Amino acid sequence: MIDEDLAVYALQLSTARYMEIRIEKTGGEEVVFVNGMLKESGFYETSGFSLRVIDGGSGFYFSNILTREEIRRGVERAERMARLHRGITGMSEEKAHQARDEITGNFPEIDEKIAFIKNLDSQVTAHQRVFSYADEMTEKLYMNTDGAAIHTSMPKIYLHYLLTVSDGKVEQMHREFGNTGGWEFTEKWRADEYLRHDASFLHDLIRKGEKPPSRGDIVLAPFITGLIAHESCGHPFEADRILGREAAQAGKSYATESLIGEQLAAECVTVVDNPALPNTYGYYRYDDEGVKARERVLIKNGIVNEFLHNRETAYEMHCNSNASARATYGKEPIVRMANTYFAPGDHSLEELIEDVKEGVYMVTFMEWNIDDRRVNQKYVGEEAYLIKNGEIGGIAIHPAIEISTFDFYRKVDAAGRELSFYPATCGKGDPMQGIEVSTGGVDLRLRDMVIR
Amino acid sequence: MIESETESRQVKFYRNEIDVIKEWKDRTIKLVLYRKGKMLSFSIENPDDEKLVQAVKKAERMMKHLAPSPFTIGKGTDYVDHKLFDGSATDEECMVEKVETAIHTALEYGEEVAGILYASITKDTVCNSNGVCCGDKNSMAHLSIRTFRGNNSAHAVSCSRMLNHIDGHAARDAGEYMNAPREVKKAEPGTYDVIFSPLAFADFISYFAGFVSAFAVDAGYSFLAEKVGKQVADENVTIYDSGIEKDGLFSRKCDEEGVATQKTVLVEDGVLRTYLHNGTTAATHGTSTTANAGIVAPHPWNTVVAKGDSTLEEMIEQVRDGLLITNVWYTRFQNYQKGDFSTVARDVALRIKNGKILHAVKGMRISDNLERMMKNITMLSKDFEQIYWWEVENPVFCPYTLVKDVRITTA
Repeated sequence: MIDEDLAVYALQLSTARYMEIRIEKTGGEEVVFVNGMLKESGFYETSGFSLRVIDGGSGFYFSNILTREEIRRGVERAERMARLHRGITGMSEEKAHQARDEITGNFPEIDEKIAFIKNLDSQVTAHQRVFSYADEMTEKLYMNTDGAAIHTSMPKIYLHYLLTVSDGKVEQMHREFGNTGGWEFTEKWRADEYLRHDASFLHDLIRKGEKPPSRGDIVLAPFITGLIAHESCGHPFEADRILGREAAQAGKSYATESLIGEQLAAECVTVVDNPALPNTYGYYRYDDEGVKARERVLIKNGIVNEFLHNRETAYEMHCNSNASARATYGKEPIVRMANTYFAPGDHSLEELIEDVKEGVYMVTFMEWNIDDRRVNQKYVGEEAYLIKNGEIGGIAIHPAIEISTFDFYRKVDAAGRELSFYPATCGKGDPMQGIEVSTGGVDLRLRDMVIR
Repeated sequence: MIESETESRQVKFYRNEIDVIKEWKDRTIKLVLYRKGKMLSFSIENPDDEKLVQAVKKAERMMKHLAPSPFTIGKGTDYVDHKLFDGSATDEECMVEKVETAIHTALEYGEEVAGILYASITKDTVCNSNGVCCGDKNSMAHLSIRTFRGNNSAHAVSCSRMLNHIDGHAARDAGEYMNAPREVKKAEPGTYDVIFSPLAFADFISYFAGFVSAFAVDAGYSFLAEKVGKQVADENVTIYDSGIEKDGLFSRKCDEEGVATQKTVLVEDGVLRTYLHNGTTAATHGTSTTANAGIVAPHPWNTVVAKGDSTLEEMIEQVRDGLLITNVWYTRFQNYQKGDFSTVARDVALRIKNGKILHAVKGMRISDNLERMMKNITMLSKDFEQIYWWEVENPVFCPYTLVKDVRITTA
């Protein structure tokens, strides 16, 4: 249980214009198997508090010593650090919520977890394979001097595998599974089916793969469109990036404040980020500044609609926060995505494929990257198929698209109607804050693409 | 038992001003239990005696349900400790002063500056039931600064175990690159001879150092499987891992098994000599530990690319049709076992023709194979620089490196 008195004590001590405290306790377990051998099993317990003060400048203090004496020291240090520099910080006015968001989730004893992974492992013993499983339960109390008080309990469960198939040549596939919730999700993931499919596909890729055409239409599955939404819309729409706060790390953005209201994409493109989707990996109901989460429509029918804001960026851009402040344990809250996706259109996958004369259907990727303004992007297919005269045919060997964001969004001509989500860990901040998100969306079709 | 106590501070700045000062205080104990072929590890933050006892009881309960794991602990306690230590590394006023100097210097070259200065002091203790008890203290500081002028940018770092060795004028060299040629052209795809700055090539070497870990090799995350004793780089390339580097940010007296750290030659004259090992991977591979534990996965300390004998000017003179790339980011692999990857060139890059710098170029991606690039290294500069920043997560001492026939693609 979190001692609320410690948080109240901190706020009482504060003499700053604004102060917030986050007390967090997490317990988690991890299991790693490599080629059928248990390599790691263990657990961890973390507990500590973070203070952020805004008073002239900004100061941040973290300690994992949860005592009143340490809280007092933290308040003094955070306030001193805030006042040591002029800073450039203000905060938007937001409603101060008092709320609880307690998600339940239970996990079995470690032997059941090991049995689960052993069963997966047994599906693909002919190949090299790595499984990493993790679960955790986090309790968090957030309070600030504006009167917000948010209690949360959040279980997370996660599995990753890397499968390597060798048959003269070597091919690899990785997948992640993850939710906010408990053990029940291990059944919903159908990880064993994916494993068998991936092993079989990689064999076929090695034996039967064909060179893709150098030009044609491309249909991208949600595994890839989700990443594209995250990288080329979500990240550049983070307002702190637009303002230059991440310039020396994750970079800047092609977006500027004046992009709001401009046509960036084809009319069939709508991109949404929504933290409040139950049980998604990026789920939260209140952000790390106590603001209530809501759906953020980043691009609406091709037009730039809103950016992702915390209270600092909202203050600077004269708007309200849309609850995008997230902090990993012991780190400052910064602007983050949650569950970012291309919204459904009205096409089935069959309809998207049927009028493609020649092209490629890309289902999964391995290699990808994007420049630090989020313009020049590349994705290389792992599971991919040739399309010929409206039908999916043979396997395509590693088709790659390397395209500017602006061309990509203009070339989309239809969106599928089936929505899927994939867990991911988004990296940002310095020190690095890897945070749970979902990438997701629908199938997209792009016309007349250069394929490498 | 591995106990770690860290105090660290960071000054973050952007748009030419300090934005936030941060401080962390952390004490963590990690315990590894091994009994009857079963191994379990756990960590607890700032535990009192009662918390520790409860955790050990939980661990013993869990161990009954575990499958067997291979586990061997390495041996060797001839500790060497010549590394630098700065007990004032986290002095906040000194850090603020360094940052102000860095911003001021960078503004001589650009109009917008962003970055961080981070510093920490850590006390580590490793004790185990073999009777080993190794106490260690370490300090580190690193400045990362990026300067913008219009659409151009330049990135620099300065890294040391001593705060007062951090170069407040670090932005100077990169700033001069950025400002020298005024014209910026879109890059053309093709094959080029490329001079990589230490900042850029350290990114590749940090991945290479990760691939040398025996854990990565066994798990399929490396193109170096079954290549010990084989050529993996040009014969002018020698790379070693060092836990005893005097100013190496990750130098440590001992590894997680309490084994004295050492200098380990990884690549000698282009030939792979060993993987990085802990006691367990060494036993599995039939060799000795290299003192790079990680209880589960061996990891590099400081990776050092041996210097060459050229100046940067001499390297530029040798390039007939090429590029100078000063930074890369977002390195991602299509296939770890083959080493196929791409990465995006970031910050200022220069076009070189017939030994002369012509103009700046933008919009490039290196789409190549890491082993092929290592084998195509043709020159190394006689000076190197310690690189550690957001994109290079284990320190690399890296010279300027000329690689022939690098595949460049564009969007």
